[in-house]
Amino acid sequence: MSIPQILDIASTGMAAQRLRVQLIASNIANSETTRTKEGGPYRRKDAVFRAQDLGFSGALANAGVKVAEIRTSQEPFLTRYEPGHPDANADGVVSYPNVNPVEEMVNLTEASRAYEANIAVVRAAKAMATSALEILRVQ
Amino acid sequence: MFDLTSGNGMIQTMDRGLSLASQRQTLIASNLANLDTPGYRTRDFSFEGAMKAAISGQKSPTTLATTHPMHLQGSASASLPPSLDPLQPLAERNDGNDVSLDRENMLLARTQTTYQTASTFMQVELRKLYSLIREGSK
Repeated sequence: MSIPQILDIASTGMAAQRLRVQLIASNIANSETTRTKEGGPYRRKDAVFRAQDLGFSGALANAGVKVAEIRTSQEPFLTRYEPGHPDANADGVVSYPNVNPVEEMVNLTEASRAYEANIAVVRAAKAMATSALEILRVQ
Repeated sequence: MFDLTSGNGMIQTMDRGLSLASQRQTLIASNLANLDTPGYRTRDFSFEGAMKAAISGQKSPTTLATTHPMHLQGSASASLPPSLDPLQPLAERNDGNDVSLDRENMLLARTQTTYQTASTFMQVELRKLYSLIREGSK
């Protein structure tokens, strides 16, 4: 009976995509943040996924997913000339976070589609479990 | 003792069908969970090939030789035929991942239907046996 395992795999996928959406939300929320605890403007964060083997189907290993690391982008900051800004440097240039809102929106759409795909797996596994239980209704 | 179910070809075939369908569904779940994992390759096997091998009673290459009736046989499902699906993804993305959302979604629905068909056939066969038993007890 591998239905509980199907649910385990789908839940690892959902957890990973949810974390990715959380990071996208913080990237968008902080797209104009010029001060952070580490100093300097906010840096874009992204999750890196890794396959994690969970048992076998015949000779093939089943793979859940796990977040290997949360990577902080080292891309250069965006700069704007705003001499009146309190965080402007001597030349009047302000460094803004290296967050591209368009890129974040595309990633958000992709993450929510992937989350939905995992929900579809859960739904299919539930329907299969129900039909297996139906075998018991012999009369 | 006479066993009504292990001697029944229909129930045996459907039993194999149910376990292969749920194994395939587990791999489809793996592929969908790893939709965004760099370097992940689609994992699948040929359901039709595995089913054919099960029906014809063909021994898989990993079947252990037994010289005594009490010898244990390893898991017969250890080897599964490789996928020959014409929809096998060919294009990999920049990150080395080749999972196709459309293909996996289609297989998810198809495997679910296969599972439900097998379980319905199994139920019909068990109903027949049940009615035989009931008629005999009258």
